[in-house]
Amino acid sequence: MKQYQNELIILASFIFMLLSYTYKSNQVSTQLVEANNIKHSMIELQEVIALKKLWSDKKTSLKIKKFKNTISTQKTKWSNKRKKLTAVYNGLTPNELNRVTTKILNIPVQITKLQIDKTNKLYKMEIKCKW
Amino acid sequence: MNFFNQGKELILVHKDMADVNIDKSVNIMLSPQFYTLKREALPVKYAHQAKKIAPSIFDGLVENAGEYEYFVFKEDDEWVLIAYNSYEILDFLYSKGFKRENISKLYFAQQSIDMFDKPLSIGENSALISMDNTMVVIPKIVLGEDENLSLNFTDLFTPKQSITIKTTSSSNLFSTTDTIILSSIFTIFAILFIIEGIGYSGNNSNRDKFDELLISNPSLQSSYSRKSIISKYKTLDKKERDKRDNIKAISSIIFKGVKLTNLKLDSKKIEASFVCINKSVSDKLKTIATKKHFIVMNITGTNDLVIRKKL
Repeated sequence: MKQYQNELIILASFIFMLLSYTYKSNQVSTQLVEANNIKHSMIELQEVIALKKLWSDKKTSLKIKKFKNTISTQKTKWSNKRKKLTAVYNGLTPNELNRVTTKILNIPVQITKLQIDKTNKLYKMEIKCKW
Repeated sequence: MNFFNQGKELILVHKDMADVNIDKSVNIMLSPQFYTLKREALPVKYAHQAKKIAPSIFDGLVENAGEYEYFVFKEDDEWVLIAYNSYEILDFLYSKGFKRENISKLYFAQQSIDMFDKPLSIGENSALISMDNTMVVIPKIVLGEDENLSLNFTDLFTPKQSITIKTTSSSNLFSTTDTIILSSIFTIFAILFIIEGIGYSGNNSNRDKFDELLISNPSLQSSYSRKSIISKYKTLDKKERDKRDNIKAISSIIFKGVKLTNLKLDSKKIEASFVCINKSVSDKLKTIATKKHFIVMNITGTNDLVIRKKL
């Protein structure tokens, strides 16, 4: 053994270097995989948070209350119970129709029914939504 | 005193020696037959400086000077310079039965000159003797009959300084220098790789951000619940955006001569009815609605249209 001690020393240090390189490569690939996973999870999480914020906004009820005042109460039949709204409008002018439509479209609620019927020059409108 | 050599046998090696059979590590003292010696007063202070000058001093004295190595030490005001060929020495040692693994350290007889106060018999015809402060091998016949050859060669002759034996021989691929250089390079690289690897393991800033987000949204900590929630909201988001886009599309296709008479929207479809004042308006409306991917139907006998789309 002593006769080949130089070769053995070189071989040992070379194996040590190879093992270290393998360790480094493993660390790099592990980190890349983990970084990709985290990135993917981050995007997913941020998306969930953003969507949840939009569609489960606690201020939606408040926005619906404000929406009630868009048209005079004489033309409105309003029913708002447990985050569900049914609003029926009679005798809307085209301008009023546009105003109501634009406003409801900008509130993050699930529109389950929207019906507009023209009678003479005025419109009848029914909106059902929940949030 | 040399603690590292304690207990190791010192063997005097000379050309007339008999073959040996040893199985333990030994130190070797070389007789003058294996080296060339010169004594010079050199204007240098340190041994390494004297060693640098040594090849030029032995120029012409030894053949193939490039194969020689040099050992120097100071004796009084002079430098003792020894030129030796480690390959020749090793070859001789192997020929006498020494094994490389059993050769520990090499010394020169000159180093222990003070111990040779009497001639030492080596072989049948030769003696090792100190003459004019130099160790020489002489024929025994030169010595007087009454000369005492009873000097006892023991481990006490072991000098302090030894030479490192070169390991490069026919059976070795790498010299000691090569070994040091190569193993150092490999080790340095290995250490660099390890440091780099450790650096990678702690380098993930996204993980911290992700953890912070999870802490502020504990309900989303499970990946399963995240997927379920995202699926629910994505469907909802897509459907509601679709509804709004279609309502906006319908309002955008109303132009002069077209009146919306009816619009119905539920979770499955959207449908709108229009009254057009003439056929050209009706055709134009039909074209626009088709471009917006609505199914267009004529109400027979009129210019009125009904457009429909599945949600």
